[in-house]
Amino acid sequence: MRERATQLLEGAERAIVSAHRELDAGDAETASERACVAMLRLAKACLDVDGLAPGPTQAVCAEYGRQFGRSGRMYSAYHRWLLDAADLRKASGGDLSLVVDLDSVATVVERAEIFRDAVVRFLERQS
Amino acid sequence: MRTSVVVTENTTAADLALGRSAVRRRILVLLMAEPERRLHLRELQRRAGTSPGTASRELGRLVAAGLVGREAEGHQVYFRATSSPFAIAVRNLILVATEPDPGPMPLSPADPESADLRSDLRHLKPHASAPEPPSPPRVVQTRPSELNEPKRPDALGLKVAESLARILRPIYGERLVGLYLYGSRAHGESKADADVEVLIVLDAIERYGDELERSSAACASLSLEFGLIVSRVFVSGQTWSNRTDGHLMAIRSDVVSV
Repeated sequence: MRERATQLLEGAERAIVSAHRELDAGDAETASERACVAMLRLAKACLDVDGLAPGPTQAVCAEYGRQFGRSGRMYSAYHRWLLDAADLRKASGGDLSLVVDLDSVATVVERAEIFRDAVVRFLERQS
Repeated sequence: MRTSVVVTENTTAADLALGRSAVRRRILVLLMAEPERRLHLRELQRRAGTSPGTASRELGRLVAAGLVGREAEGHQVYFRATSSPFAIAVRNLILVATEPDPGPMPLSPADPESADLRSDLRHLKPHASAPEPPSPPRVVQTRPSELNEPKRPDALGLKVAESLARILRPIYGERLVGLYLYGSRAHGESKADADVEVLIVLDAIERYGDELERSSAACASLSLEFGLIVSRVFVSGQTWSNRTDGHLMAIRSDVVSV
């Protein structure tokens, strides 16, 4: 596994742990932000296999969609999970601060864990 | 050189108060929504969805007009709505002009806020007095820089939003109160790869994640089809109508109904 991919996986794991902690504390905004960060780091780890390193959130989501959304290399639902996580973060945090329930955030955290396991398997197949 | 602008019955209150610059309007809405709060240039620029240069230029105009105050603190510069009678009157106009369904101006004698509004409007002669009999269009002298054409929504953004609306209408049925394009694509200032930002108003939202799930496949599919990100936000009809904080007000003042 490439060094950058390993770092991104570790970062994603930290973000997932942090998301769980914030969920337990009842902070939906921070938990959704951490869950989204985890999903983005996992998407970046996948893109790193192709030598791609997009930066901003929208670029990561778009590039992941191009490379993995319909290619069959990864389960296609991960692409929409990534978009959903970004939209949940946008709704709950920043300027909008809409009321988002903890249950919805917990779903995104669970998905981040499923995505993490899939990315680990994907990266192991590549190496 | 001076140029004339004809003000007709089609000119909105917001146009009169703010000119037709969408960026200036968004900045002023952000500041007027929370007049007690000061905002840094960067934050205003980001929340108004514009460049630092444009934000700085529009803020300069608002400061010169006495609507916004500038406060320096160390190396930081903050902006805040002033409490001048003119600023208060403009704020009232904005509150009315950004309502989804404005209805009649609240000028009931029994309403203390209406009394304040009337008092503030007296300082705005002759633009905002009580209703007058029909008269020929008035001519207002203005600078050429204020003659910005109203921004048109980006064609691609509108097309994607319409596609999303077509998919979601059968899914939501009567629950769908409205679907709006907002952000840079709504006012035609977007970069080629800008997100298509859609705001979906539903009758009520019990669990936010359920609405994300219902629209998930549509957004992902359109994102792939058009090679960009389709981003959506859900709000309830009640939140959409009643919330008056800065960002939602700014969105509401600049949406395109799909």
